[in-house]
Amino acid sequence: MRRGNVRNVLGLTFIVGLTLAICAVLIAYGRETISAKDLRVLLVLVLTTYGIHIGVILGGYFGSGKSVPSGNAGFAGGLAIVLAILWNLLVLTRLGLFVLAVFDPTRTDDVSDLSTYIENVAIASSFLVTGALSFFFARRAA
Amino acid sequence: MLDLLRCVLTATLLLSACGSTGSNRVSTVTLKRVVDRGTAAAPLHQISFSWDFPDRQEVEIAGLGVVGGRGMIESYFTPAKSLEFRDAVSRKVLLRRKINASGVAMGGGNEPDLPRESEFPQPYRTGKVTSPTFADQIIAVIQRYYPAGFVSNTSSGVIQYTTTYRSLNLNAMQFHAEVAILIEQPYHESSGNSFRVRFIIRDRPRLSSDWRYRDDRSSQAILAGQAFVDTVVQELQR
Repeated sequence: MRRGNVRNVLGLTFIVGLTLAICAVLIAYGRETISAKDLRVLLVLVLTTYGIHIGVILGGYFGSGKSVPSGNAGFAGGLAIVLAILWNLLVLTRLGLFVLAVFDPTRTDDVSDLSTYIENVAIASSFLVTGALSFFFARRAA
Repeated sequence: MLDLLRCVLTATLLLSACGSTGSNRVSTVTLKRVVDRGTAAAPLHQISFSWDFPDRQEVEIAGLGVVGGRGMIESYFTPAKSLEFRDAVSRKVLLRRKINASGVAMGGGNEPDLPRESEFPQPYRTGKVTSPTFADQIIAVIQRYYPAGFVSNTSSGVIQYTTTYRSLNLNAMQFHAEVAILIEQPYHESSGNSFRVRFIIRDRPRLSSDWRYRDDRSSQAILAGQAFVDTVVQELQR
């Protein structure tokens, strides 16, 4: 896969992940299972968590001008995509379980557990994607 | 199993206080359970106890008020080191029982969820005191609705009974609401002997971690809480 395509897939993965995460929080608020304060806290948390990575991606797109990287990404490209999907799954799976609890009153969950999980797991697992994102977005095209 | 029964029996016998009130019949105060629920800085005991003063219609329990000569409290929180029973008229001490913690509450969050007096908003309900042993009536109502327990203290001659929180019955699946009450007695209005009930109604959405105490509460929770307090006031006046 070409480097440009890998960048696009990575960018799309994070944008879709962020959109799904925001939707999950809005669904919980729309169903009146969380308060306005919780909505604020969770949205800020989700934006902060994704913001670090999406900042690098947007910087890569808008900061590189016309110099779109070329060449074959090879094994590094595939690995970067797999790791990006894995990181997003770690975050989105937990949010998915939270949404299940929104619709199923027999399930127990709460905002503080969700916040703690996202804060701890997203930060602890960021090593999965930071290297790859730097390689594909922060590195100047050869 | 037998060992456990023997242990409970021995503890009950050891904790029982006996005293003579001037006749052959023996007055007893039995501490059935003492659990340490406070911290080192603010000790608090959760106790269950009964009393029997066969020759008296009324006795006064320090901090609780005038009650009948015989009764039982299932869950009472007190920072005091002893329970003191006095003559209802002369206030002479009849019996004093030392409180020694025999157990520690299981799990975390050891301290009970007891609101402070300053946390109760100003709106209140009032009612007339209907009995000379009105504390009995208060204790009975509190024990019926608040099995988790209550605390009491005296301030400027007014006894304040503060409960923990209890759940309110709501038809809404997505909300959970609770109410705590503070009964103050005597509360003197323009005439007569009366009591007043202040209350805290709080709610939270089902998946939320924080309670809401102010204008952001659901109207359903507020109405259910007010209806509950009205019921309590009615029952106190029976």
